[in-house]
Amino acid sequence: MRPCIVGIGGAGGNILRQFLQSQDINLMGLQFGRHLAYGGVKGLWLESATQDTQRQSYYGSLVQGQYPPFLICHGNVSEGSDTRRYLSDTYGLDLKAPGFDRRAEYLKGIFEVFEFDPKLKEVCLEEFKSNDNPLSGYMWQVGIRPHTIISTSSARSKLCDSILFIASLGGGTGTGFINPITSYVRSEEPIFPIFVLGILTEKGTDKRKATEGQRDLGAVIAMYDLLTKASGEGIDALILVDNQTLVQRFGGNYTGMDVCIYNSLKPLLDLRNYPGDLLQDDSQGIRRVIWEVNGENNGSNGISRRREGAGSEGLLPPILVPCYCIQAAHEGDELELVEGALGKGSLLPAGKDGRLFPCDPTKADRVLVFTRGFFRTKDIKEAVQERTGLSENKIMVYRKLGGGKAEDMLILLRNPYGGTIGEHKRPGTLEWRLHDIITESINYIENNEMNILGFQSYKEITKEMLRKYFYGKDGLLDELYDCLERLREGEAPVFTRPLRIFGNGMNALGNCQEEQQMAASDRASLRKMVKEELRAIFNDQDCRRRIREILQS
Amino acid sequence: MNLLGHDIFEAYMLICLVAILLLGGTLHVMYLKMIESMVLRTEESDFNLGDLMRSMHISQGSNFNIMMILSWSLLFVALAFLYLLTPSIFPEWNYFKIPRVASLDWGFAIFGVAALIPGALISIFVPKVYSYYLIHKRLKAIAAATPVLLLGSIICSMHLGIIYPTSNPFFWNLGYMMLAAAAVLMILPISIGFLEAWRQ
Repeated sequence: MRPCIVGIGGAGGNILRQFLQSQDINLMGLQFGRHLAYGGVKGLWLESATQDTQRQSYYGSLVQGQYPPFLICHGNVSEGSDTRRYLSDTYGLDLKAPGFDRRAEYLKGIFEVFEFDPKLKEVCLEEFKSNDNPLSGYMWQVGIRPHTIISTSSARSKLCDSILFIASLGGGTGTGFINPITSYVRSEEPIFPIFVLGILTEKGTDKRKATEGQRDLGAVIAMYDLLTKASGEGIDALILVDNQTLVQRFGGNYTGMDVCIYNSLKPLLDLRNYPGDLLQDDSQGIRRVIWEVNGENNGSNGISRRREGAGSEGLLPPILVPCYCIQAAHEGDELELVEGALGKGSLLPAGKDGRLFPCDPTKADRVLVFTRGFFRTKDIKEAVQERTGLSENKIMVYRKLGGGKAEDMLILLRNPYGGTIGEHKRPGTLEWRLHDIITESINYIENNEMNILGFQSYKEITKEMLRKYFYGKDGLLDELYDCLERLREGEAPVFTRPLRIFGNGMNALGNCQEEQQMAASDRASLRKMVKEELRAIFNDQDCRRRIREILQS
Repeated sequence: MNLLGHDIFEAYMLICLVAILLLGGTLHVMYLKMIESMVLRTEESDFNLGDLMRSMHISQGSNFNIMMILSWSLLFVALAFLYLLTPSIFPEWNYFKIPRVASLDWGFAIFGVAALIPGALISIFVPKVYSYYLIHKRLKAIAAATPVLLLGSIICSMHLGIIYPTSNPFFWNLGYMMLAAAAVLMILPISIGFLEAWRQ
């Protein structure tokens, strides 16, 4: 697997930096030739805040042909852009907003409005020619696509066979952009493997004074949208990491946390497959395994299906929880690695073992194991089976050659939740953590209506749409209460029904726009016009005769 | 003290140098055998050594590769300069035995280029050996210092060639030390890879 790793926002950029570290040497401070990252991956940092890109020196401008590159998401939108002006005048949304201040709904709104306002689409197409969305189209075509095998570049063998997006869940830019960009890429490339590594922000108020509730709301909106797009509409898997777990392990050392995430994913990126396993770990193969439904598990224990009546039925993307362990090559065996990654007992306090997100490994419906070292597939399967209780056919093993000082193991647990009532009360389960962030989000929505709807220069139409999205019947608030109920009941999936801000198609938007326009001066003039027309009709001799005939008959 | 008419100390030193390089080759073969046996022990399906070597292949980076190609090329130049530039070690086989070249302004350079040809031929194949090892970036950076040492050794030898017929054991010893250190650095990734595999 050789993904193009796309870091979005500040946290995404910091973690990406670890992945893109050159494996080559510097010659007198310079590097010549092709940049070599671990596993031959390529990467790109997407950022909306220009000032953040200027405060660092690692990434260079993609527009200027530098590598590793950053790309300003709205780099192709000029100050006097017609599209920008239309969006601002009609909706109060700014295409060139410098960062999104922990508001996932802001970018969600921007992207949805392009899909549902034909006039905006028209203006945009006129200005940006082939792109009906100036941000997503630009990021995909200029930033990401050239690094993938989809591009027309001649050096295809060195290009990426999948995309791994890295974004914080609860931050600003990453949280807001992750859905629109993944949806756009999917709409362009129906079967290209797209994975997301989402890092849930830690508990408490952050450095930028964003409360836990506000950040959790952003995270929930992002996760909700990622996990409710069925197969072929969105991502292939959401790999979840909890910063709270890493904070307990590393204290405030954020670089240490980034390194930990990078090291954990190295077995996935390693290209030194066992001689007999060469074709196993290509991205399409992994994608297929991730989506695979076991014959006997079509319901809650298999990969989740979207519920009936909640849009078209289809498979929903799974949550993957990474668990990682490393040990000196001459110490221990595969059993110790498995125990180190998944924990020995039932549920240890978070941070004491290799689980990067709280969960109960015995709840997983499938396991993907990536190892670097010299192990038998059978032994690994037995060790994982012992710990998780899964049958052998649900444990997929991808072996990479060892040869270094250490051997390590990454275990991706698919959907390790559901099936038992009351698990949300048991600390250390995925249900418990999800219940926690959803509860915080609900509290924030209920207590911060003014903050949510009164942001900056939202126009009435946007406020109305946001009100419906958050507080309306079957809106996000109602849906989150349902999610809590599902968590309490041990149901899976937790997120089921896709929700939109500029929701129910163009009709809703069109009606709303018309209503707003009528409310102004047009309503009076229309009334006057109708009156005049009716008077003219009734004054017409022919019309009066016909009416008389009707009455007499 | 002479050995077949040559200085015995320098001849022993040459044997040591060749031994270092041979050790590198031996360790590499042993490393491959060890990896093969470890894979055989844990692999259910059949494979041949070619498959294994394809699986083991890893890019080390163009900068590192260039430095190693340069190192292997310069190794032969440095060796030739240290042992064959002046008649003090091999009186019958040296630069001064070709007076038409030795009397030219660019004589040293022509001699160096002549020595570079076999080195360059070897250096086309040898650096590929490194692609079978997991080499840490720090180790790569250390190994990349090799050309500097080899250039230092060549400069010492050139000094001895310029001052000939007088001699200066200090410069010869310094040149040799640099050459030996370079040879050790060049086989260091192989030795460390071997040791790591051996510990398993």
